[in-house]
Amino acid sequence: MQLLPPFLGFTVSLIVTFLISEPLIRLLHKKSIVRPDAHKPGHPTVAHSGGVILFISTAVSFLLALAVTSEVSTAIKALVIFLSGAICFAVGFIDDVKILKGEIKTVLSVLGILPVLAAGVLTPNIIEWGRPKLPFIGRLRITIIYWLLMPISIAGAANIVNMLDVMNGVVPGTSIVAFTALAIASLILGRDAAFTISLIMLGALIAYYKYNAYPARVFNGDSGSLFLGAVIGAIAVVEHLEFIALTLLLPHLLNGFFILVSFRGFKEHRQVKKRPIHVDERGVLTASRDPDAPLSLTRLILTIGGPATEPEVARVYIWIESVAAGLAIISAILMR
Amino acid sequence: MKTGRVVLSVGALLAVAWVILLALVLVAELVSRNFTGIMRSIMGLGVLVLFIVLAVVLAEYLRKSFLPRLNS
Repeated sequence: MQLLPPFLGFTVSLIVTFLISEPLIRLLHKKSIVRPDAHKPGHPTVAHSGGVILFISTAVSFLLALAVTSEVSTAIKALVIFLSGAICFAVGFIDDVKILKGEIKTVLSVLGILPVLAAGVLTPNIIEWGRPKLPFIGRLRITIIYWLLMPISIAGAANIVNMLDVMNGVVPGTSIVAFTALAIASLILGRDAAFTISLIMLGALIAYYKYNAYPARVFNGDSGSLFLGAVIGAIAVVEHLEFIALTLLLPHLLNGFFILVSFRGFKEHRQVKKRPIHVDERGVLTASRDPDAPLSLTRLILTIGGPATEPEVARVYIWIESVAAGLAIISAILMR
Repeated sequence: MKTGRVVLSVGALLAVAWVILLALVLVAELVSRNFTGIMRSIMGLGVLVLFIVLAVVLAEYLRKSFLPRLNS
């Protein structure tokens, strides 16, 4: 396993994120790309589309890591993963600037699979479609189901991460845990491209976290959450870490599933009348007692744990993601 | 907020979901192993659909019956 590209990528993305965050936040304010923070008293406006910060810093680090990679197959896999993420970032950025309908955004994010499909045709010996590897079983034989699910693998991951972007610090906090676990799983299973990309994402996220943590100075926007989710989905498909990624995204999957079932499909939060949680004037969050209110992971957390502040809920999300990370690492050990 | 209680409860839910996921894949593979060609995929798909239907019923039960009882 090559160690220079991942560690160079990590260091560069960390430094670049530190350097560009402040000026980009100021630029977003100047361009009036801002949103009100609904969970805070007075609803202050916050810079939106923090995904731009993550995308620029990871793109710079990725290009540098690519330049020092001597393994062609690792470089191609990493390129495909990053391109898939870049497509979903672009979809998210369009939504941040010009609000798209929920269904349109979801359909557009399916385009994230295109680099994987193209690379599968052009370099079939490097990017192999189908037959994911699972604990106990090894390579799965149900290929048709896999091909049916493949178009939504990246879009699905991107959208469920987006659905969890409900409070300050939740998405970068849980993503730090997820990419750490992905890096460890990649080391255990010897997946070079996944290890490199995970460390690049990790470097950017560590530096970015303080800007999105409570009280947020920048929102991730769909550009940020779709980008992060798409990268996880692409790592899963390209490096055959499907079960690991699925385990890491279990909290997101549960939340997305609860929402889809109780909302009866994709709806933008603007369209939802009954809220799963309420915020009082002091910023304390409580679960809705209305049995007809939609279900979400946040509502479940507040029902079990009682009223809480936004940073307390964000911290719980990070703990929950740590449980998923533990299960993902166990899965990687079982897959060895 | 009772952080420990939430992490234990939701963590247990995740662990159960992980075991179910593993079991689902194992069952789908074992069931489809007895078939060949397109029938193998149809049987695997059948197990997957059954699992999704079961999960929807469970989520609705959680929302309509379990959560209001926990709230009161």
